[in-house]
This record gives sequence, C-alpha cells and structure tokens, in this order.
Amino acid sequence: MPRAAIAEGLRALLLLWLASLAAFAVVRAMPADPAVLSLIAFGQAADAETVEALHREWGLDQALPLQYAAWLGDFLTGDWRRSFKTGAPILDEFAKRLPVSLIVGFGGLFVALLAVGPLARGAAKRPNGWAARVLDAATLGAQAIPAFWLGCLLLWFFAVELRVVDVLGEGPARYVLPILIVAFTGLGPLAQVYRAGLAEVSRADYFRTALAKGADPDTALEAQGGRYARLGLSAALTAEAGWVVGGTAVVEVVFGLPGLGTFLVDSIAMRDYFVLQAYIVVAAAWMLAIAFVAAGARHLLDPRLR
Amino acid sequence: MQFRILATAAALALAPIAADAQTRPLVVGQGFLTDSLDPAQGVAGWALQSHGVAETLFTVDREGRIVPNLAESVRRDGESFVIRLKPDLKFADGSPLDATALKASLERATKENPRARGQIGTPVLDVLNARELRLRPERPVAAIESVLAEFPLAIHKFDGTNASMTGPFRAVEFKRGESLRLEPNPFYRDAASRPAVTIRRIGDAQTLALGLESGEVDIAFNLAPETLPRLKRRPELTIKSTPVAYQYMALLNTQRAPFDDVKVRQAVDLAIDRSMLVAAANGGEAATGMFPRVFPFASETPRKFDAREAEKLLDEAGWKAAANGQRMKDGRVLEFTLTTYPQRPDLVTIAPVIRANLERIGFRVRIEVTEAISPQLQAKRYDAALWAMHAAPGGDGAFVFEQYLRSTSTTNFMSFANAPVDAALDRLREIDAAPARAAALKGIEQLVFAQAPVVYLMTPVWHVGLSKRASSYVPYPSDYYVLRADLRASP
Repeated sequence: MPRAAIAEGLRALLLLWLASLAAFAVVRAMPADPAVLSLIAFGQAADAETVEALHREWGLDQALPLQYAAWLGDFLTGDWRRSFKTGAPILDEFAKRLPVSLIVGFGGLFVALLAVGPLARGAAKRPNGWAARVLDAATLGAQAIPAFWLGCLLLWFFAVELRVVDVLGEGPARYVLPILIVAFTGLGPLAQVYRAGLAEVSRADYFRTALAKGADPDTALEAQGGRYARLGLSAALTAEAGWVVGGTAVVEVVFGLPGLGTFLVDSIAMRDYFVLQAYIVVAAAWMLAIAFVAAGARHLLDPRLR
Repeated sequence: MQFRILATAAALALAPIAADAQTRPLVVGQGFLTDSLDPAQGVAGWALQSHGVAETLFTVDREGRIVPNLAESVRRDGESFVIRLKPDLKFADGSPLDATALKASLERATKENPRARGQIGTPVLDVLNARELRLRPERPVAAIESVLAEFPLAIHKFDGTNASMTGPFRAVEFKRGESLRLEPNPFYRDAASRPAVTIRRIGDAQTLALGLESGEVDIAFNLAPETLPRLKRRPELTIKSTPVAYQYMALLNTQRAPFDDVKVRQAVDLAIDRSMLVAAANGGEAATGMFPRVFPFASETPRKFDAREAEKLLDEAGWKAAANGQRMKDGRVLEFTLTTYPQRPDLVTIAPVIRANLERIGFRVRIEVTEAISPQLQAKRYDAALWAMHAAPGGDGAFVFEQYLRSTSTTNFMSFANAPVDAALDRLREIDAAPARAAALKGIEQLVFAQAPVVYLMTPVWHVGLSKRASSYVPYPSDYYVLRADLRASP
C-alpha cells in the first residue's frame, strides 16, 4: 500500500511537471507579443526601445529554456510572479479570486445535487411522469440556453422588475443567482446519469424479484440501485467539478464577480503569460485532486475495488 | 389611529432609505477599473486619470486641443524644455506640488515605468526655482505638450507605500477588479460641491444597463446601442450621446491578395456608404479621415462614396464581373475575410453593412468574429480587420501615423510601406508649432488616402445613461476623462 501511494504520488508529480512544461510551451506559442499588445491597448507607442524595456522588466529577454527554468523555480517557491496587466502578485490574485469561483462552482453543484435525487428517482420510476419531463426540459434547457442570457434574464426579473436582489449586490446575497445558474446547467447531466443508473437497476431481474416479494418500490429502488447509480453520479460529478476552476467565467462576468474566470478571460486577451501558465498548472493540480477524491469515492461505493 | 401609527412606522422605516438616497455616493458603472493606486505601475496612470484621481501637466480639452493643466506653460530652451507650474498646487495629502516635487515625480515615473521612458527616455531634470523645472529628454521630442499629457507621466508623490495625486478626487477604498470608492480631494478647488463617488467595474453591457434600470448605477458609461430603446422608455433616466475621439476603420493587409493591389483598396474605400454604417450603429458621423472632426487637424470632407467609380477601379485591376455579379481574375474569386471583435459591439453591427456594400460591386466577403483581435493583427493573420482606436490620445495626430503607418513600426499591421509618407513623418518631427503640425498632418493624410491601406469608416458616439441625481453630467469625448472636476450630484 505505501509503495502504491508513493507510486501514485510520483505519477502525480510527473503529470504536474508535464503540465508545467505544456503550459509554458502552449502559452509561448500563442501569436503576438504581450508587450506590444499592452502598449497598443492603451494608445502607446510600441517602439522597439519600449518593447525591449518591457521584455526586460518581465524577464522575456532570456532564452526560452532559461525563462522556463527560472519561472518553474519561482513558481515552486511560491513566487508566481506579477501579472503583466495588473502588476499585482499572481499568487495573491489567485488566492483572492479562487474562493469566489469555488463558491459559485461548488455552490451550484451542491444545489444541483439536492435536486438530483428526487428528480432522477421520479424519472426512473415513471419515464413519462412529470419528473421525467422536468428533467428532460432542464437538460435540454441547460444545453440550449446560454448562461449569459439566463443571467441577464434573472437579473432583469429579480433586480429590475421585483427589486428583491441587487444587480451590484454585495455580501453572500450576490452569490444566490450565479449559484442557481450553475446549478441549472449542472442539474441535467448529473440527474440524467443518476436516472440512467436507477433505470438500469429497475429493469434488472433482482429488482423485479424484490418487488415480487412485496418490497416498497421507492425503498427497493434506493436499496438495490442507489449505490450503483451513485457510482455513475460520482463519475459525472468528477467531470462537472473539473471545470469549477475557471469554468464559471460567463457567470462571473454577467454578475460582476471577481473570480478566477474573469481574470483568465482578461489574461488571455492580453497574453498575460505568467497568469496563464499558473492557471494551467493550477487547473491540472485541481483535476488531479478531483480525480483522487473521485477514486476514493469509487473505492467506497464499489466493493469490487476493495 | 391605526392608520396613523402604520404611516408613522412606515415613514420611520423609509427615512433612512430616503436619507441614504440623498447622501450615498454617485455610483459610476463602467467596464474598466484601475489595477493599482500607483500611477507609475503599468497603465494605472491611464485609469487613475480617467477616474479623476491623477492629472498630467497638460491635458486634452473637449475640442481635442492640448491645453495646460498643472503646468502653466512650457518653453523650448535649446534641446531642453522649461516647465512652469501653476501657482499654489497641492497633492491630495496637502503637500505642495512645486518644482522639486515635480522632479521627484518624473524621476520615479521614468525609473519605474518603461512606458514613461518610452516618452522621454531618462531625462535630465534641474529645478530652476519653486515653479520651474528644466527637462532635457534623452531623445529629441517635437510636440512636448502632447508628451506631457500622456498618462505614464501622471504627476504624483510617493511616500514609499502610497501615491498621492492631484486630481479632483482621491481614493478611499479600493477593491481590485471590483470597485473604487472616491471622495472629493479637499485640496482641489470647489471640493465641497463635488459628491463622493463609487466606481463599479461592470464587464457586461447588459448588466450595466440593468444596473441603471434598477437604480443602483447613477452614471452608466458607454452603454451598448441595443439597450438604448429600452432605457429611453424610462422617464427617470437620461441618455446622453456624444461623438468620441475614437475612430472606426478597416485595416487592409497589403501583403495579401486582393489588398496587395492599390486599386482594390481604393475601390473598397469608395464602395462603402458611410451613412449606412452610422444608421446601423445608431448614431455617429461618417469619417473624414484618420481623426474625428473634434480635432483641429482632422480633414473636413467625408470620404467619398461612389460605387460606380469603385467598379471601374476593379475593372482596371483586372477583376471582371461574371454573369452572377461575382468578380473573378485568372480563375480566382475576388474574396476576403473581414475580421472583427466583440469588445466593440458597434463593429460587429456594421460588419454586415460593409459586406453588403462590397458584395454589391462583386466582392465575396466572409465575416469572422474573434475574441482577441490584437494578436491576430500583430501576427498579420488577417485580410481586412475592423479596428477602433483613439486617434490622438495625447492630443497630437502624429502618434497614430507614426505607430500605424510608418514602414518600420512594429504596429504597422497593414505592412504598409510608402517612402513619401515616411519622409513626411520625418519632417513632422522637426515641426513644433501647432498650426504647422496640423497642416503637415493633413498633407500626410492625403498621401495615405491615395494608397488606402486603411479605410476610414465612422466616428462613433458613446452613450451614457444617467439617473436623476447625475443628470447634469456632461460626457467628454473620450474615456480618458470620465470623472472630472465638474461632476455634481443633484439633490
């Protein structure tokens, strides 16, 4: 077991190193020079002297391998450098913005999970019942309705017409609508997976046997199929949780939340190298962490893995 | 009796709200917010100037003229310039802005910020007396007033931790990426008559309009045109529209077919009916050239629209119309991709109008919308691109010509190379007097018109939405000065 844990740890470190290398290569392969972009964005002369001075200031005047080695060394020792655009330390920006994205992302997934069980069970039991219709509509709606449109609609209705929330709200209340939107987009995929698991069990012989013995359908479905369906749900949840870091950008922009997503959008346009490199490594670490947690959950849910 | 008690209770409950409405800061909603309160860092000087916190020695007035601001005057003294400050200037912390403080500010700006060094290098600075400073730039500078109006040279005093500036407002609370709370600078004239202000960064145009409608935003800066009909139906709101110092244009990549042929470029210039663009964008003016008409060096006559002459030029260039109207040459179709970007929604709106104009004379045009156009331009991976830019950020027109049309410039996205234009720009560097510079700029513009590497389209209007409290606000023709000393709040 310790040997397996060590091997897993080494594998994770190797993956993170490869992610850092890929991050550096991909970001540096992007066309355009951040110094020039930064100058023209604010109506300044992009003459060779100023561009070179910015390169020197940002450490872009060295050979690429040296730049990578220096950046990686700094990154590992907690100096994630400064944003070209904001001039602020990137680690501080991440520390401040990541919680905002996590609240929105995980809050949305949590609210979605609250609705997943009742909807999926109802839909599995009665494929033409109201729960199935609601679930199908929610799934289709989440695919068809853009999050920014839904966000604007909710803001208009609740903030302008009813005036029960603020467009520029502060405090915990400002998270309510963004969380509901993320919940709406996550509900369909999660509930459909859970429903499919339950539906599969409901067609199984052993389930019919349980019913023939006089078991209550709800109790039998949960008892016979709950664990199996949750196994599928954990896989779907892993995929959904993966994009929490940076994937809530649209909602953040519409609701003016200073999360990681908005920072990322600005940084891509300005070729803010160190922000993008840090983001890719953080996202890779996040995915690894989620995969690790998901593996643990599967281990608990699936006796065959023990 | 019961009614009276209820009414009194309601009045008491609502009283704080009413009082709050009177005293709460004016809320300005806009898409940008400073990233720092130190004007020497990055482009913070630009944002702080726009927020009414920072000032420069010279500034650009409503008519696009460079006028003294903190400086009373500047005069040439050989290769140096003597800057004379206005009397009794103070920073927001109450300390005097004299020649010594000015020297410290310029020294720090040029030491800390490469953008400032890009203006005047590392200058030699000598204090002559309490109000006069001699500045010798590291490299020759022609239009010094324009350079001294540039944001990297925003005047400030740095105490090692905080920067104090001279604008009509000073920062009280800053939440990066979110908001900036300002109070009137007590050491600026008429401080008592200015309200406190909170600037909120609102990245989405629809959210900005909704904030105005919900009463949370008093000044909604740069509203999207599609939100205007809805907002104009609300009697409590005022919408003010003003032409701005930005110009919309189409950049033509002269290294790529079909725009490697000057006749094709000229045909595009002639074939676009600018009045249709203005109508599509819900306001604005047909372009007369590189500069909006607010500037004294702008050309006066709108660009000519003559589709027949455009067709003639295409015929001369060998692009013959087939039976279906599509033009061909050596088996190739006359086609190109028109690239635009969503950050300027007007450009996305006018792109189909441009396509319709050009398809009428036989072009085939594809429209491409890209999230980040600047990298594409810099890599020169485009055929034609719609572009918006401030035509004279420092109040001097030489800048854009130098940056976009000099053959050696790194931001010459069109790969335009024309010896007479380069020579004219060289001569312009030797000219100091504003009238002579204006005449020279107009001459350069004529040279550029003849080559048409750029097709000037229109001068846009910006729309500012105002609550009743902010209804006296008068927009400036630039986002460089959103908050100014004349800001007032109505009761």
